Amino acid sequence: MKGLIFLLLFALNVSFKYGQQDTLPEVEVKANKINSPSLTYKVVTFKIDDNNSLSELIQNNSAIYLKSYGLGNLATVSIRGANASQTQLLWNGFTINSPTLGQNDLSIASTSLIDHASLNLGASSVVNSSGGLGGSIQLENKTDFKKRVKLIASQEIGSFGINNSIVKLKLGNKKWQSFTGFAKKKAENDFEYNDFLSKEPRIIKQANAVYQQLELAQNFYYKPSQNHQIGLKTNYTTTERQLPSIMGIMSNGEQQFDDAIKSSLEWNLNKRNYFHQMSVGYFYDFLNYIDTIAAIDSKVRINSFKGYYKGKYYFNDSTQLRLSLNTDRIFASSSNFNEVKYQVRDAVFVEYYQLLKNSLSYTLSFRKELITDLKTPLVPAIALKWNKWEKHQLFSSVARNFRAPTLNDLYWNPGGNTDLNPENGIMGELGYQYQVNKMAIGITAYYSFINNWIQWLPSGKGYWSPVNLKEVESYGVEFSAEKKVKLKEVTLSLIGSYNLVIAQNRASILEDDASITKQLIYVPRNTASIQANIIYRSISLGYRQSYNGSVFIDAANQTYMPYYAPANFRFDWRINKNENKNKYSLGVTVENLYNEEYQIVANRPMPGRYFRLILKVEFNK
Amino acid sequence: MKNGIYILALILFLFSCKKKEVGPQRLDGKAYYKEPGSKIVIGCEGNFGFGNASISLYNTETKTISNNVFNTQNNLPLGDVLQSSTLFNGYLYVVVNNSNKIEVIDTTNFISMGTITGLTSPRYFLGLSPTKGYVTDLYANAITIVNPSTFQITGSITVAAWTEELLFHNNKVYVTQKGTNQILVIDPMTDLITDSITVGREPNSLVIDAFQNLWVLCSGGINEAQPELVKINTSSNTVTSILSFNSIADSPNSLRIDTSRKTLFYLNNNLFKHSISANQIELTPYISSGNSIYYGLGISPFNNEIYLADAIDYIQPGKVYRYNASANIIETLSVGLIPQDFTFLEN
Repeated sequence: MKGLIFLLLFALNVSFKYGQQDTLPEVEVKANKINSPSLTYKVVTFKIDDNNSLSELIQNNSAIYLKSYGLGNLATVSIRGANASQTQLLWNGFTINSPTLGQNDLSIASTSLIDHASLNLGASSVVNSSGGLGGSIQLENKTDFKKRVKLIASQEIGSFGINNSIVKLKLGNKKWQSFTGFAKKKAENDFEYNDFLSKEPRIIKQANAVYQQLELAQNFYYKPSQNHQIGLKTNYTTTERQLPSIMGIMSNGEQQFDDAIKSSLEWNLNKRNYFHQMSVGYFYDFLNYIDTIAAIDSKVRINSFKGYYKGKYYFNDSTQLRLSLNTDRIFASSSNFNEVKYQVRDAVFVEYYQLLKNSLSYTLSFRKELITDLKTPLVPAIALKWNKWEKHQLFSSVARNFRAPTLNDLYWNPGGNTDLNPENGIMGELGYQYQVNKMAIGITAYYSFINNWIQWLPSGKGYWSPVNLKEVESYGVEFSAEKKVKLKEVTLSLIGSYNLVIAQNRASILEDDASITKQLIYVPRNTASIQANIIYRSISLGYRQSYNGSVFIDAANQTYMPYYAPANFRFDWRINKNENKNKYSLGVTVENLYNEEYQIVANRPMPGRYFRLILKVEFNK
Repeated sequence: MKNGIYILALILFLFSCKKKEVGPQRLDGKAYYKEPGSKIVIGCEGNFGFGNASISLYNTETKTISNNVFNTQNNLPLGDVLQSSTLFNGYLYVVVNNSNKIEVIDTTNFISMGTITGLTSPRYFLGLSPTKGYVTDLYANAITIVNPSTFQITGSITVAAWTEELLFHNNKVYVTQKGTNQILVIDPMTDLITDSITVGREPNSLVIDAFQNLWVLCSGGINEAQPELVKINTSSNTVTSILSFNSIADSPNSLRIDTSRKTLFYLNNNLFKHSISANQIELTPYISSGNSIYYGLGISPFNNEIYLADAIDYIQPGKVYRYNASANIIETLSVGLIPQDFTFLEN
């Protein structure tokens, strides 16, 4: 079955080769932005959809495996076999992975009030930070300096009490821009599922699953002269959630509260021969988990002060040097630490870029980080790109990278292990991209080897403790194809992607460890998606079919979760009489179109077919 | 392009095909073995919140192991986390902690006869009569009284904190109350606490020796106090000796006794043997666990064979090492996820 789908995707790709002429407006490969990797790396950009969380955005735009515990519940990604902590999330150039947990819950990472999201896979993530052994995701706010008075408001209602309201106000002229955003999201998530764990099969409603989020953002941009730009970006997000228990277990009424403040003040200077960017940021994170029956009321409070300088120096048309300096001061207090933990993370990154003859370009870079209490390795990276022929592009990269243990790994009381080594990775990729007006095909093969893989185990002292347990080898292929066809007034686009991930444990410090040569848990070997969009005048129809191959749920590969392949269908009706004037749109989405019964994480039910209705208005003056 | 559309339609059709499997599945759905012979029930915890606790069954005569017996026989998952199983009146009372329940299982066919539900965070079961049993609890601050035949909760005994292992001796029930460093003495006729004995930090397991002494193993908490092996005279309910462990970092657990009731065994990463007449804590392991740590211990009440559980990395099926009484290995068994508890069934 899996092989067949793979073959079919290739067949589909072959059939693309015949017959089309027009232009393909959305190009997947973008580069040369100060916060994105250099010219030599491939970066995947996502089209922002206001109403989605980051987890939904990733799910709807890639074949990356999203490990979701259910609607509104914990969601993390696994990129190229790496785990959630090995994926870095950045907000306007600053890493925002929780210093205590090491990861982010993408179900509460909103994309409603950001402007740009992109994904760096593998080696390309070292440009922005260490720790992205799988890759990194960037969220950014940016603006141009057009004269505008724009108000965007949308209201979404849907099944299980989905009720989302978003209001955005954009004001500006040639010198000033202001963005004000408000988003309020709520869902009861009380969907019905078949509880097959009870002795008599029964349909029950998911309980204790209410999700509420409020997000406010205010950004100011000031452009005093042609070369200078100043930006002040602030975001406050508060989320209140009930955490549903697994199927068949009585709920303890667990709740979680997350508060986050993200803010930065940046200054850009853009001259002909150089580019400077300086930014300082303040970040606050509060997490409170409550289980009254188990008498748990754990609080984690983190204040971080961050700053960076990023510079680019153009020696001539074909050579440039990039330098970045980062500092990150983290103050973390937790019910599980003896005292407030203070961690300093300083980093320096240098990169040299050169374009050689025959359109061969390369970058050579080094990153060095200094982290409290830890010895970290030097991170070198080299990347090559060859695009001698306009339509064809070859790219390749090799890098070393590491991921520092989290504050919980180091200082959790009891069990924190200050003797832990960082996880060490070496990774490489080789990719080919074919791109013409109305179609694009990309294929990338990658390899990575990560040792000192951290895992918590009982210590024999009455508590668990993290150890550098495994060596993990991952390799695979990423394939994507995109095709646009225009027939009179109808535009048809097809996007297909397929990921193969082989991620296996190679060595262990334990005796009798049967996980060696076995696939890591919750890493599917095969994931694929295919998306078809039809646009006719003001109406667009979209259909998306995903396929997530089965995953093993024990390290010896004896138990597994079966594959699941939900589809969704979207109908949009846009009314915009002429440009720059008021716009109205109505969207209807049917999620899980075929009412598939499935689980991603064992015994965590997912909803059957459900509906979302979105009304959006945009006023322009 | 037409071809493309056909192929697309075909893919969509394939995707929309219904499938049968939902939820966790197993590759090795081995059938239940029905050969006679003494059997050992190996309780496998499973991961917290994963619903993957299981029961493995080992036939010592045919040397066959059957994994996932409960699921196979009942076509139901057991839940998680399997804390303990206790044999009483021919039934096995399997306490599943995070699932807040006790499954009552017929040991001839491993079919669930009933489920005691509504428990807060159950740990251990002790059967006292066909109509009375006690269940200790992590969070309830109570010992729950249940009817083992009707599977109903019939009452509770209020206690101060977390209670763990318990046993019946001399018409009294002795309960380790981990949270207050005490042994509670309860009269099962009246369900009243008649006495309490202060022992070392965090008592977790207890046995009765050949001379009617109660031995209590105290883990010492997490670097809070020196672990202790405490001896109690059960006629006067007073502590008669205390042996302290060498290191505050030790965390001994799983106190067991052999058939002579003169030799104690316990885990402290490795397996240790302790003669009841010894006057200090043994420093040399009886069986060393090497790189891993032993997570569960069983001593056969028939032949003193030693069963040691190794959960490896806690996310893969574990191993059980079977040793004879002289610590020579007989066999290594592959069992379920996180093996921890041993119950020895008679023929």
